[in-house]
Amino acid sequence: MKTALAMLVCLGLMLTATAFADPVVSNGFPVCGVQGDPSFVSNCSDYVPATDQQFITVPGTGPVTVTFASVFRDAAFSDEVYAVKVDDSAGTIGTLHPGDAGYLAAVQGRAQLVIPGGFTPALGDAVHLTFNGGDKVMFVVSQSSLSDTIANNPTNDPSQNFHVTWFSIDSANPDHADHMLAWSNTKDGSGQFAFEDWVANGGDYNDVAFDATTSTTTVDWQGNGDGDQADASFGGSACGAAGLAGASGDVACSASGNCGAGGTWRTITGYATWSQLVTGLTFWRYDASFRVCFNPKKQAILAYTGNTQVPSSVLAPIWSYDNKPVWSFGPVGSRVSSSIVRVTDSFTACPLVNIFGALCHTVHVTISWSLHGDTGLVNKSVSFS
Amino acid sequence: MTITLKRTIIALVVLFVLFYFVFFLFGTGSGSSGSSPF
Repeated sequence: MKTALAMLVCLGLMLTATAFADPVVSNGFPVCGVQGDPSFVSNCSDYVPATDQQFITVPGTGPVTVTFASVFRDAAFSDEVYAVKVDDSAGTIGTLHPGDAGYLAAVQGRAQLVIPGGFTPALGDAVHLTFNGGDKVMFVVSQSSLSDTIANNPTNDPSQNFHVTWFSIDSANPDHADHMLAWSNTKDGSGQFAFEDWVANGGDYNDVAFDATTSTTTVDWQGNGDGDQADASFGGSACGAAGLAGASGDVACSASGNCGAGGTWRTITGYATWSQLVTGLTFWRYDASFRVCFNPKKQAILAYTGNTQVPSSVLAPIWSYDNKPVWSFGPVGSRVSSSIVRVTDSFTACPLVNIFGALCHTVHVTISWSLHGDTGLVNKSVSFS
Repeated sequence: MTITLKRTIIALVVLFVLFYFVFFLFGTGSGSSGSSPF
């Protein structure tokens, strides 16, 4: 019996080559969508091969959440999948190397469950795991579980069916063969990997599969001013290198081609006004908008672009627009169902046109949008300071 | 300083204070809030 593990990796996850060539198989991979869903497509053209990928290197710096979503399973074994941080490209953990006594226990000590044994892929299911930018993450597939291999097949003898554990790093495998195939999605930045859960020679590499995307977890969600621009560097977007409106990829993004199959561009707006408390005299109005690529079927927020801000009704010469907009954009990707957009700007009032400049008064305005792909709703809020 | 000049200065100060309060302070904001489809 053969098994394949597919893994999807977001844009920015670095690929690592080894001396082992990928096996050539015809197994319907890569796929788009989730097995059993009407939108599921075999041999999806959205992907390009990620040749000889052995592990992923988590992009960015600091804590990074990697989202894994099971998309396919066709295995006789129950196949439990784990993500394991390793110390180098050989899969070293501490002082232990693959094949060493105690290595499996060391793997188990760092293992984070990605797909439970026997799990049936379902739309919307996902596991969110946190790593640090720069971490090397190896994937592990156990025919039953890591605990089972340690207890019943401590030498990881590949002939002990139902008790074998396989690794995405070829050299760590008991047959020293490639058990993983990988692809990168050219439209939404995600990726796809595939494992074989039996001795690899002649395997079909379609036994279990999942998507993976990343986003930084240092997003300034609460708007506490801890560095919006830095926070807004996300992986997983097809719109510009950083996935941000204003980035170099905007033109291509707005061409709708990068919105992906099933995705549509929606325009989101918001406004704020600042008025005299008693008289109601309007000091200024601020309108902001952006476009979001939304896939209602996948409930996914895929991209942002076209952010604009327009001041109006400014009570000159007292009030003036400072023209210092700072936009922040939350994560995007095929597995991102919740995200956030925020713009902060300001207006300044100076009495008698700066003659009394010391009395100038600045009002900061923040408009926040919280987008929820699962409900198709966007929550808007405005604050002033 | 003549009484007229004093009154003028006082009037200017009062006007400035009124101007300042009306056009700078006691502002209030409003804008988008709540949920809507997207």
